[in-house]
Amino acid sequence: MDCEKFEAAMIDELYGELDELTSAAAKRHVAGCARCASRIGGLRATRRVATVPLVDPPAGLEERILEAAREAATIVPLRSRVARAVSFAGSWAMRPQTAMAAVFLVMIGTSVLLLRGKAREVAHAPVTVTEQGSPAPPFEPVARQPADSVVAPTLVASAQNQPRPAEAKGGPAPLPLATDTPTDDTRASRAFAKAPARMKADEETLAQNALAPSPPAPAAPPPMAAGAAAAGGAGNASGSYLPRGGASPFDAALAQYRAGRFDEAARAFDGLAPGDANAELWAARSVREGKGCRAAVGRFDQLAQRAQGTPSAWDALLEGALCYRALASYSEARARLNALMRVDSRRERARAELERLDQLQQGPPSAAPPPAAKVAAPNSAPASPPAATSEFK
Amino acid sequence: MSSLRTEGTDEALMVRYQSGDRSAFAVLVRRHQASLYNFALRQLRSAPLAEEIVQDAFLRVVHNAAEFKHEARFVTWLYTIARNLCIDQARKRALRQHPSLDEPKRAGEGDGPTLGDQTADGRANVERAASSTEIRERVLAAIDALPDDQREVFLMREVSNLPFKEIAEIVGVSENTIKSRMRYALERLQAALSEFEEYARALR
Repeated sequence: MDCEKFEAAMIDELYGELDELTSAAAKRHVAGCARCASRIGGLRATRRVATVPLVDPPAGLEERILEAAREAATIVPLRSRVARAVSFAGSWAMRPQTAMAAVFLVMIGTSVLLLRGKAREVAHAPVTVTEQGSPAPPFEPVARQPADSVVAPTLVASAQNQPRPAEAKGGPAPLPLATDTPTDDTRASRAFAKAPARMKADEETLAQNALAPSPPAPAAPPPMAAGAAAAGGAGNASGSYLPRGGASPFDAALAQYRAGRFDEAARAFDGLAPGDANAELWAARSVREGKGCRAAVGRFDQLAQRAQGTPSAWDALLEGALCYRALASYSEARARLNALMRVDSRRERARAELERLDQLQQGPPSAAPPPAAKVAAPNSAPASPPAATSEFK
Repeated sequence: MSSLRTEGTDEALMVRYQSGDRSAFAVLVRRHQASLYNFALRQLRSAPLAEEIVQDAFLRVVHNAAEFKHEARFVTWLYTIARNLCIDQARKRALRQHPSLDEPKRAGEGDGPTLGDQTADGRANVERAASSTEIRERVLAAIDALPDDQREVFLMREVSNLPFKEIAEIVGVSENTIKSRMRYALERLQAALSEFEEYARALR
C-alpha cells in the first residue's frame, strides 16, 4: 500500500471500517512511513481529545414524547387491517347488547347532567377555562366541580366568574398587574417567542402570586366564601398551602416539592394536563431543585416560548435568567432580564436582578463564582443547586 | 440499558409497533432519544430547540409508522427526519430579525463561560495545565466552528455512532464524500485543538 492508497483508507482505518486484509496492509504502511504515521496519529489523538461531551436529555422528555404519541394517533395499521377492523367494530357496535348499553349510558348521563345543573346553580357560574389545570378541593362539599373540568386558578377568579374580576383586584399585592396592557407584555415575550399569544393576565397573575413560594397571599376576600363552590386552585381559599380534604393532583405534586422529593415532584407536574403552564413552571422548578440549573434552563426557556405573553412565561424568563446567571452565562441571563424590563409587573425585579448581574460580572476575579465547578459535571447536580437556589428564596 | 437490546432490532420493534404494540415504540424512544438529543443539541446549540426536534422527530415516526418498510433501517429514517428538522430550524433562525432564545453561534456559549472569559489578562493558557473544563469548552467551540456539512457528519459519527454508509444515505451523498467531510472535520478540529493534542498523546 502506498501513501495515496493509505490516504484513501485512512478514515476507514481510524473508525474500524476496513476489512481485515486492507487494515493489515494499512498498518504495515504506517509502520514504515513516518509521514502517514504522523497523519493518522494526529487524527487519532484529535478524536480522543474531541470527545463530544454527552448530556442527558431533559427530564421528562421521554414521557412527553410518549404522551404526545398517545395523543397524536392510535397506531394506524396497514390498510387491509384498518378495513377489517372498521367492519368488525361496526358489526360489534350493532349488537343488541351494545345498543342497550348505549341507551342506558345516555339515560345515566342525562340524569347526571340534571343533578350537576343544580350544583352549578349553587356555584353561580359556568366553568372558566384557563391555563390552570386542576380543580381544588371543594370549598363547599355540595358544589364540587366535575373533575375533568378545567377550573380557574384561584377561588377568587372562578367564584366571581367575571372576565375582569373586579373583586379580585381587591386581593393581594398584584393590584398593578391587573392594569397591564396585553400588547406590552406580549411584545416582551415575543422576543423569545414565535407567535403572538392571548393574554389571560388577571386570573393567571393571581394564580401565580397565590402559588409563588413567597408567603401565602391572603387570596380569600369575603366574596369568595359566599360564591364558594367550584373552583379553586392549588392555593386554596384560606390562603394556606396545605391541601384540604381530598388533595388535587396539583396539591399532591406540590406536597412532594415541599417535602424535598424533587424528582417525584417533577414527574408529577409533568404528568398534569399538558399545556398547563403553571404545572410546567413547577416542573421546571422541581428539576432545578433536584438536578440543578443546568438541567432546568431548557425547561424554563421552553415554557417562556410556549406560554408567551402570560405570567407563566414571565416567571419562566425570570427564573431562567437567574439560572443562567448562576451558571455564569451572563449574556443569556441579561437577554432575558432585559426582555422582562418591558413587562410592567416584572420591571422592578428585573432591574434589581440586572444590577446584581452587573456586580457579578464586574466584581474582582477572586470574587467571581468558579464556573468550572458548575460547568464541568453536567450530571452531578449537587454542584449547582446550593448556589443556584439561594437566588430564589 | 443492555436489557433494551434483548427487545429486538429497531426494525423488529417497528413491525410490532405497526401491529399496534405501543410498548415497542417506547423501547425505540428509550433507545434513541439520548443520542438524537445530543445530535440536535450540538447542531443547533439550543437545548429547547433540541428537545423540540427530538419530540417532532418521534411524532413523525408515529404519524408515518404505517409507511415504514422494515427492510429499511429505522435509524436512517429517524436521523433523516431529525436532520431535515434541524435544517428547517437553522433556516428559520437565519430569517429571524430579533434576538432569539437560542444560544448564539458563539464558542461554547450556553455551556458555560468561554475560555476568553476565564483568563483575566487574555493570554493563551499555555502555561497552565489544561483543565478538563477548558478542554471541553474548546472542543465544543471547535465543533461549533465546523462548517455545517462537516459538523453533521462528525456528530452523526461521533455522537450517534452511525456508520459512514448510513450517514451517506441520510445526507444523500456518496460514502466517499462523507468520509472526505469527516477527514476535513477532524483536520480542522486537530488544528483548533492542537495545544491539547500533546495532552492527548500523553494520555496514551
